[in-house]
Amino acid sequence: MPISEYIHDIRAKIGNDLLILTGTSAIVINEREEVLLQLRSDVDVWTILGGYLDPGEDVADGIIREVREEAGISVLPEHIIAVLSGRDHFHTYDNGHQVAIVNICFRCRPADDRSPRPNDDESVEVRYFRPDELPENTYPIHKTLIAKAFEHKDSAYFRPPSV
Amino acid sequence: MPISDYIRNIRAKIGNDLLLLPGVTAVVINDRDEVLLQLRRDTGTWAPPSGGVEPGETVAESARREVLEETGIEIVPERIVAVLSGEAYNVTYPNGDQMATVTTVFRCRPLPAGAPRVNDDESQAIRYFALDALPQNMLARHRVIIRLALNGDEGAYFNPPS
Repeated sequence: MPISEYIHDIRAKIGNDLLILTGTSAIVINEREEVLLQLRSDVDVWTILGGYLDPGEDVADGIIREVREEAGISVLPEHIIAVLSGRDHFHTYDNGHQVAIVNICFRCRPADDRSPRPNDDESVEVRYFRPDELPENTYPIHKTLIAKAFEHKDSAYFRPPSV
Repeated sequence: MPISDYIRNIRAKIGNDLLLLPGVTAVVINDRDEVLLQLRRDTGTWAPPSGGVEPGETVAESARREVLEETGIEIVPERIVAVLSGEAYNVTYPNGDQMATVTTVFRCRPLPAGAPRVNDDESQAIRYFALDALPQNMLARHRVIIRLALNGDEGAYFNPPS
């Protein structure tokens, strides 16, 4: 079931109530060690790529689908960089819908030679940036995740429990 | 795991409909190379403690809470062993509730204080098992995640793309 159908059906019953969703994010790094970002159409911010996982979808399939939908390229997920959730990952949409997101963040590399391009109405521009030349209008959390991806550590980050 | 307010409230509105739920599983291994398992009432199998992520929790906080609720002990989540999802993780409960889960599996170590005990109505028994003497009545997937927790690879496993 596509996530949009899932959200549509469940919102018809729960209204704006808080809904927990799983998201996937991709730090796509090419062979020149540049990172792929999209300039979003809804907010004037460069973001990493990603989106919500469909019910029953494998996380790796989910991130491959999202990058293909948003940038028109295939990627290979290499490592899980982080699993993020908690108070910093609540969001209220303009329509009032409340979500709490558990985000699985992958480091990926391109799996084909196609050039990334905006592939849906979510982005107005998609391009690679050198990690030391990231645009100003980028979310701090995305800069942190990009830095983690370039550390090339194998272990996946999580925030330890507060004592 | 007591049924959370989140699930109770949403089930009151959606009935048995499919619900997406991020979850956690804790593979707790002590310094004698034993793994903590619970004999679950619902399946009758031995399994590592697990449960759903509550709104506002980090996944590590969920793992700590679930182990505390189910076994009465405090743990430290050490590393993420795997993130598991897909059709195989869609379940229908005996009452008809449908769930699609995405599970973050942690390797954890127990803090010294306190021995594990049955701490809620989800388990019939709680005990450590030597890693080379696991019980017969375990689901294959639980054997797999224990094996993943033991291998030296620091990376988190995920199913390769289909």
